[in-house]
Amino acid sequence: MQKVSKLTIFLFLLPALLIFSLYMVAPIPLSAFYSFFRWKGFGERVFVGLNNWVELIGDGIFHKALFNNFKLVFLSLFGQLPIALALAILLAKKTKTTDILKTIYFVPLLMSSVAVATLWSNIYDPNFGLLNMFLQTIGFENLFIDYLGNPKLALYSVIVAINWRFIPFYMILFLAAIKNIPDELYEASRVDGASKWENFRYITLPLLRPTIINASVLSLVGSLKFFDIVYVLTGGGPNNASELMATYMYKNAFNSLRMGYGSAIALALFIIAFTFSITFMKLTRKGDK
Amino acid sequence: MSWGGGPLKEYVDADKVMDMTEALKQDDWIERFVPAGLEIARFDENYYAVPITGMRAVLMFYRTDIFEKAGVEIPETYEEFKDVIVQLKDAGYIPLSLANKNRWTGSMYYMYLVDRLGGKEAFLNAASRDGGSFASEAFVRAGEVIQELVDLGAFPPGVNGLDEDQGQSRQLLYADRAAMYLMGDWAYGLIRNENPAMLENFSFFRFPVFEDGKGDPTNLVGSPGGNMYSVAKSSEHQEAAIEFLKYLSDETAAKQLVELGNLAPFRGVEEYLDDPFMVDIYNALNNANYVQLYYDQYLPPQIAQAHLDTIQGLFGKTITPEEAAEKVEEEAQKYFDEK
Repeated sequence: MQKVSKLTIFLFLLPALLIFSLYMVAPIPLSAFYSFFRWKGFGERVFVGLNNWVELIGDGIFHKALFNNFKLVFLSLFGQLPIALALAILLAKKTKTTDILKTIYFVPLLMSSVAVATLWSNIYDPNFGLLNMFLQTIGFENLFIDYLGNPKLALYSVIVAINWRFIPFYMILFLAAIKNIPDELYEASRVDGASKWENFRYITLPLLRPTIINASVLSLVGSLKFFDIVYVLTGGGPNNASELMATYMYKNAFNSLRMGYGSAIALALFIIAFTFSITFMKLTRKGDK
Repeated sequence: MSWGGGPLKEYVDADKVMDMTEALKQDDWIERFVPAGLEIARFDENYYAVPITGMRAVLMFYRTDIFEKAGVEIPETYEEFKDVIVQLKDAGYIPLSLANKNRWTGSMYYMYLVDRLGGKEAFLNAASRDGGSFASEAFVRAGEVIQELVDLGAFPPGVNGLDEDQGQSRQLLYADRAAMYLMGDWAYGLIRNENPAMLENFSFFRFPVFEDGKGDPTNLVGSPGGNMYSVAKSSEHQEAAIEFLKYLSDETAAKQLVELGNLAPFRGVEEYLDDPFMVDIYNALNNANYVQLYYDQYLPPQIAQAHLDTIQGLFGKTITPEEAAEKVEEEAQKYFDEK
């Protein structure tokens, strides 16, 4: 094989690197800078020192949003991933049915977030929606569930929709990893008389470990910075009941025109997500040794 | 493009938009527009935008056939309004259709109530900081009235989760489940597309007044002009932009807007009106002594958001009327202190 010079490699990476720096890396120090100002996003910038940060630390809505984000993280890690893994194992056997099912299960991921949110908003519609209509048809005539308008329920309703959309993604991830496990291992264990459970416990699961860790990090970070489906389904409402850090940031920066405060929220979000994913990766890597 | 008022003012203060006064005076272009429409783009003596689409009024729409069936008449006072609500409720209807996920929808009730209770001055003084306050009596009582209506069961169940953008409020009207609908007159255009058959039994009435209220019963909530176009100060093609806006406000544009159910904010537009429903809306606007621009467009964005945030709390009863009023006032004080 011909040896490729380092310069060629660099040149090929350059465009992606430029875009990445411009849109991903540069905004981080910029947001940190803006968070010390009172600014509308245009016009005059007034230096206010740590005011935005002091406000953020005492801001009840931000606390609530942070707590909601943690709920989302928890329910994603322990909801999305196990279900995705179970589906992947069921679909790993190649038959005609699993081929069809694979395609069907994959559909939620192919739709855009806004379409998914709109779909669920119709399912949840308390008066004409699929869910309440269904419950009424099977006999719960007086049951009336207000999925998105009830502040106690809204966040969980949204999380169900989020999980529904992202399970297929992790399913495909796990499926690919399962397919990579050599058949010989299972053949050998069969010779040793292992049960199906033992196969899963001592072969599949350990070999999936790196994939599961990767999926967990993706799910963790994704849940911490989540935005779109919540924004469309509830807008963070009612009365901030389903507010997440990202929706609260958006509202401050672009609806209230408080770009400085919005930047402070954005940076706080970054610090939290960064710390959590680094800690998580450190912890799991330690286990590898 | 803005809706005039507070958000446009932010851009004017930041010196980002062109002063259009000269251009408007040239060839009497200014005469083309309905004065109220230009008024919301005027700061000091200068104009910074022109209205290109419609004058809008928020009206209390209702199903005439459902009113007949339930044996109720158009209410003029709040007491009568409450009676109508109770009777409609007893007849098995949702009295008032509302989708409050969007918050500006519930805000329409609040704005009308403040106007009817405290008159237009209640809001204007609070917004201009001329001895008024968002925590004054009219604002607190408006919140109380909303919660009284909530307790009467006037609104659809799950009101804070329903989405106006998806027409979940209008669906209740179409399904013969709800009787009244407080909404901007654009609802007429939407219904004409979605369910024209219902329009045979559809009309609107004035928002009821309070016996001890100060508001003028002809006052409307709405906007004297929508889609206000401004020209960027930094633009190198300001003349071309003005030329384009002249094109957007000419006779043909006016005619086509009216055909779409939009009361274009241009003079003489009434000549093209042949739809009686549109004529009624036009008259309501013409007879109004004052048109209250939506709070979330009139106020600086920061205060507007505080207002919108409290609206869901009021309808969901997770906040008291005093707390809601206090929260907006606090945000207003914070905003004006920083100025």
